[in-house]
Amino acid sequence: MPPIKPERDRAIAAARGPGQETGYWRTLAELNRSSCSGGPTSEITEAQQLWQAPISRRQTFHLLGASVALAGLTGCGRPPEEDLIPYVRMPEHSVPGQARYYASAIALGGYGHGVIAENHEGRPTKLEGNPDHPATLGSCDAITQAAVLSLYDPDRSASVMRRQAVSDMGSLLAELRQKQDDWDREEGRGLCLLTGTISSPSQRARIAKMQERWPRARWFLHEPVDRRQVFRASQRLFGEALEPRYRFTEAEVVLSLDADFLQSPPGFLRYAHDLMSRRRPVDPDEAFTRLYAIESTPVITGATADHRLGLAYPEVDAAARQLARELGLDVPPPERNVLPEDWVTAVVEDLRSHEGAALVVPGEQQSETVQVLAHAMNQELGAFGGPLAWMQPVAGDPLLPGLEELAQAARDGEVESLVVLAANPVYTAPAESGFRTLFSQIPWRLHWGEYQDETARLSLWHVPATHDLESWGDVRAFDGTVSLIQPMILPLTGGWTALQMLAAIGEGVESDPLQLLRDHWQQNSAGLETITDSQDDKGGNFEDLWRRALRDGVVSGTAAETVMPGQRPQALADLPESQAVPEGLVLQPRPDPALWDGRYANNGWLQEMPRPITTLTWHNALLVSPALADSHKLEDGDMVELTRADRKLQVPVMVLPGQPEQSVSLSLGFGRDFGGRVADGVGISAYELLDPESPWATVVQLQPTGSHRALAAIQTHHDIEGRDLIRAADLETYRRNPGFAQKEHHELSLYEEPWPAEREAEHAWGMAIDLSACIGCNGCVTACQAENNIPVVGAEEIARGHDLHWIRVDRYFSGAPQNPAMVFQPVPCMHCENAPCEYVCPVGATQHSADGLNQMIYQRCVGTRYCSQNCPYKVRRFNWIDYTSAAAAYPAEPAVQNPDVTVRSRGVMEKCTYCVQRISSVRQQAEAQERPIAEGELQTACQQACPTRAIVFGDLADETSEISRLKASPLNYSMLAHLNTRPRTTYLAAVKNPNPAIKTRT
Amino acid sequence: MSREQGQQLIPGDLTQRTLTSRIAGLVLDRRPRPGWRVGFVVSGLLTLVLLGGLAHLFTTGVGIFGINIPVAWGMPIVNTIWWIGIAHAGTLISAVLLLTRQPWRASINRLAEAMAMFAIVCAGIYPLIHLGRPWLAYYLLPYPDSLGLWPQWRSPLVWDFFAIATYLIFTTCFLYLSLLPDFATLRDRALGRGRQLFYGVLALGWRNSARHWARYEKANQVLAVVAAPIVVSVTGIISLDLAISIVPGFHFTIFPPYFVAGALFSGFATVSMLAIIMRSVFGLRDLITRRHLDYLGRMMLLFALVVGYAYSQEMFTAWYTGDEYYRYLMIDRWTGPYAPIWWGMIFCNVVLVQLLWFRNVRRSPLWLFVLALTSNLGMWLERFQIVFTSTHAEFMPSTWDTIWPTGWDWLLYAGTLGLFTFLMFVFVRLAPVVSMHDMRTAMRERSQPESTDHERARHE
Repeated sequence: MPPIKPERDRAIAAARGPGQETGYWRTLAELNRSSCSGGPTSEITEAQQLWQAPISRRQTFHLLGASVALAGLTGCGRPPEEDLIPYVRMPEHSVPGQARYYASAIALGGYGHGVIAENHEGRPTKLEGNPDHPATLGSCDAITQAAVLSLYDPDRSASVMRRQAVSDMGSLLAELRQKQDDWDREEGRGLCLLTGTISSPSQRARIAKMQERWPRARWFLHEPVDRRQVFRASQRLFGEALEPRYRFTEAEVVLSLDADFLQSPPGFLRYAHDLMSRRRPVDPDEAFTRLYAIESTPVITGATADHRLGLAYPEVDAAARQLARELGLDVPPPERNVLPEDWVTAVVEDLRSHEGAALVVPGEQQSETVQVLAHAMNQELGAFGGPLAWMQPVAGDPLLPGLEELAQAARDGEVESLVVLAANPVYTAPAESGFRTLFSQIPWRLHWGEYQDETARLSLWHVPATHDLESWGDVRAFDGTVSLIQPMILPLTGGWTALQMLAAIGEGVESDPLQLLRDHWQQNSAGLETITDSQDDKGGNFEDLWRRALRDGVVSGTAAETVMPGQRPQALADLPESQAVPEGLVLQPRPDPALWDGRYANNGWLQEMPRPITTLTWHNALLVSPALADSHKLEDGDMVELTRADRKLQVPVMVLPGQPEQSVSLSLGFGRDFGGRVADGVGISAYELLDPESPWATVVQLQPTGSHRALAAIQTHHDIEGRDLIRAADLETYRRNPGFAQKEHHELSLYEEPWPAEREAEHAWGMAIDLSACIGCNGCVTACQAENNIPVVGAEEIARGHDLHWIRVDRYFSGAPQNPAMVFQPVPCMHCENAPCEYVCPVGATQHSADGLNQMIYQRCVGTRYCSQNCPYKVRRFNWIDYTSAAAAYPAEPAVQNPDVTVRSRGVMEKCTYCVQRISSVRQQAEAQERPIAEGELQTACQQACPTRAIVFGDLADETSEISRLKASPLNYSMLAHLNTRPRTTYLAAVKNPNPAIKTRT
Repeated sequence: MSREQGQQLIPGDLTQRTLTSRIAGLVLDRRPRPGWRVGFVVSGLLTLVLLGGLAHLFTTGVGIFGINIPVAWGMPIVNTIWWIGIAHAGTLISAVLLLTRQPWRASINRLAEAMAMFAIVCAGIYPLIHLGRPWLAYYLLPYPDSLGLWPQWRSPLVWDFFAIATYLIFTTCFLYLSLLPDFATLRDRALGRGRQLFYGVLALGWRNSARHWARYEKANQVLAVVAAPIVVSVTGIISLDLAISIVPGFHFTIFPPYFVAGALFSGFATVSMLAIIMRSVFGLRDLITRRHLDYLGRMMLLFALVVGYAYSQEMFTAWYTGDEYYRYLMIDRWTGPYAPIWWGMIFCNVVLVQLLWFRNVRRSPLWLFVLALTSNLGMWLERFQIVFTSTHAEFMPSTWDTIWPTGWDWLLYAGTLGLFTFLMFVFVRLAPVVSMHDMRTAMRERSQPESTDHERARHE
């Protein structure tokens, strides 16, 4: 092994910056910089170098000797005295042990999700949706939940890097100032900016300022999950790029054309909420939106739909044409009719009969033609202004040139300097586009991002970015509503906010992140005024507006104004002729519901989130139809080789009922090389095989390789075996017989039930889960993981059935394998009144509380696992090995853990507690204030996260509570009631609203 | 008839003196036989493997076993039940045959008791090591806890704990008591001072006086009377570990007698195997005769039939309850991923064992050994299918999973087999493997048949 010294010297020299080797300094600024601004960073990075450097044999002995000597010394005296110093000035309202909540926002694909961050002693530990935020309404998706784990990710970049060696901000600024002189001379020629979608007004203003200074600089936009088609279509239809916004509350019939609006940003939480608010008929006569879905791979939107049809991606174009023509639009005919005749007639008739309340939603990754056709149909059906609103694009100009244009410019030698902001094109560009090679040929490359990822490693400069929870910033929601982002904690690993980075590029200075944001809004304070302000006296001074915006986390009334666009004549006639569906198998890459395009790949919670429908974790698999699997004799986990020209990719398959036969799907975001310790080497990167021309439908050949790989799927059996676990009916049946879910009830016990003592309890906690409303998004799973300190166990453990999630979302298929119906059932602990787990525990480690909770006493548990054996619902989870400590494969980050929840040791059983820590804290507060617990004051983590409010928790002892109302509903039933477990968690039977006119292929 | 029996059971050319010196010689000879040495070393190594496996288990956790949710109990539970079953025949042979004055018990009762004792040791290891936190196993004890906590008496695992502990104590007493006169013999015959002291202490001052014998007989009979209920209750309680639950496949009222029969079946099989090994390794063919093997074979057949009847009852019950979960479980046992286990069990315990109807098979050491081996295998498979298949596909199909034992499961199983054999090998060098005083009694009875009431009664 090489000795450490030269490397260390180099590192120190690099950290000191140029000219520092001699100890001379030229200006006071330089001296200050080296000792102050560069100081802490360089100290940290120097130490880091020491840790990372290989240790020689000789050095090992040095250290060994030293530690023995030191170990001896410690025995010589008392340990050094340390003083515990109390706060001199107590931070306002800070009570140790009590959480504090602040509003902020997290950007998801450039669009904001308002959050409320729970802070314990200055550490954010949990994110919840901001009820005032239009995109969340208080719910929270898995990716946003998991952002808090990424904050503490030890793999985040901690230092400025220059040519892969540690550098510092000072050197970067010095170089930037030189570059700026060059750019000034050339008006910015050769300067290119590559960003993801940026909706932030302040960042856009900064970029505009840069463009003003350097008019010939170019700005490129790269989102791997591209939404350009949406805007291209509106440009074709209306002559201007407009952004659609769906208002499902006003829709009665919805047709999805390969859209996954229930789980794809932007707006999905709100869309799910709005759609499902009209699809949960506690009262049989309530309106019930009907949903038709055509989709190229089974996703939760189709699973939720009343009628679902699987078509390969290229066939959706023909389907759209077929529907449009049936609707009477003059569009070029489809090359071949792909939809069954009765289906088309019935759907179009249904849409027609609900004019003004009918909506066609095209998939955002579908072709421009499909988008145009869908919106032409919407116009024909009078959806504009009703269920469909148009608005100016929230993220500015969405049709900026993209990666292809950048590559072309680079090929032409027009790119001299490239600044990459929060994008990872080296990983996300299709391998075939050759962007990776081109990228490293660009003379000057700067990357700003949270990780030293694939792009950072090929860049000349890398600047660490702050996490959203460490940043000052702003972001707009899917409807344009502005939120301010405020930091919950000082940057843990240094780094710059986006505004700081842009200011450094634009002006060559290091600026205060707060000041940058304040300056922007001070100049645009009108943007912080809400509707109520304009009615009053124009809002008052800036400070008040600013403080309120920060406090509320959302500036209400700043949603983008809607416009009523007129259709351009000839827009439809100009549509290209229908193309024949390409021969061969179509590979459809899909954004991963957890990792998205790969940017969240280093997050253990997300890696371990069971993906909706497949229940896969940790590894992506090629989704193949049962028919294709049959013809190639494939089973789950068999490896196949995909070939496209000279590119090959080996992936395991998963046989998924409902996958169209001519297509296979593969999630994006896996197969990272430099994503971090969690991400690296997990799964297969679909980018390796994509066709740059048509990335969403790449024609490939498939060849089984004969090898096999275990898949880490949570659920391995998909047939409900005719068991009475899920009760469901269609709307007609329900209206005819509202009590369909009630089965004959036998008294099962000789004793009085519940026990009188239990009946007299002050509180009786219970839960009802509405199966009509559950869309199977698995957001509750991650919310539970975040709230309850559930460790990450890893792929191998999951494959062995050692998963640890306290709530699971069961998914069953029924019907024909080529087009099955799907149903979801979230299963937390049932908190049985006659709990089978309780009487079998030899040490009494699981007990019943007076308010009806089935409680685990971890300290008492010896791990016989009898409770789990005897649990008919199998909701108990066991710590088979040590999953939490530093020695674990995925050690838990102590900082992110909820201090109100015990961290479980190895060998201990655990399970859903109904978030007992929340119950206790609310009860304590209520008791201290001598008042009853208010309705809605108490929410479990899963309930809070659920976008459709499918989970309702509350006090059964309070007859007026929502939970009591739901339990009285005729839809309410207990699972496995015949075992006389008397579960406190019950279900509301699922109701769907199929079109009676469609008899075939429900 | 009894005379014939006696002649066949006890070799005619042996006098009391030669018999005693032969048996005592096995212990007191300085140089152990080569067969013993090989066995000692091999089983000793396996015991070391067990210790290594346990070390890994205690540092890592029960996650090394092939268990998960839904199959949270795996091979440790299978092996516990299996070992307990083996222990039972040992006790029963000694106790029941003593009470019924079966003369053929004399040469094998010591072996059976030792086997019982060491099988319980192996059985007792598993419930402890299958715990998630074995260092807290004492929570199952009713000790004066500062928090006033007691074990949960409704849980069969607590009963189980007491049952196994009681059984261990009982077996130890029973074995030790029967060893007392023999220890005294060894003390008297030992040449070295060390050995004299060693056996002298163990013999607890036995002087062969009539009073000693009278007390010995009384104590022995009391213990023998207690033995039968203990055997039934221990296995019965272990079966309740499963039967008390609501899991289809576990929840079955026939379990206690079914388990007792199964335990005796595997126990007699193991005794047969040990007897056959001992008679070839130690040259005791004249003490453990084919006649003994014949009787052992008959007992095996009897209990195999009871076990087979239990299987049929289980299938009938599954159908007759009309419970869809139970019915599915039965079909899953026949056709599911664990089907080879079920069919293997049926083949070993129901089909193959019918060969024991043939006298020549029963009297052939080789055949009997093979059948005893397959019976033990069959009974192991039976426990496996009860423990694994019952929970792998129970109420909620979403939780169904198939899991198989891991290398660590097998390693620890091999380890306890090693420990059992090791303890047996050590035992035969420290104590007489055939009860000398019982043999002497049997010989006395042979020479004066009319002296015992029992014999006379049988003549008339």
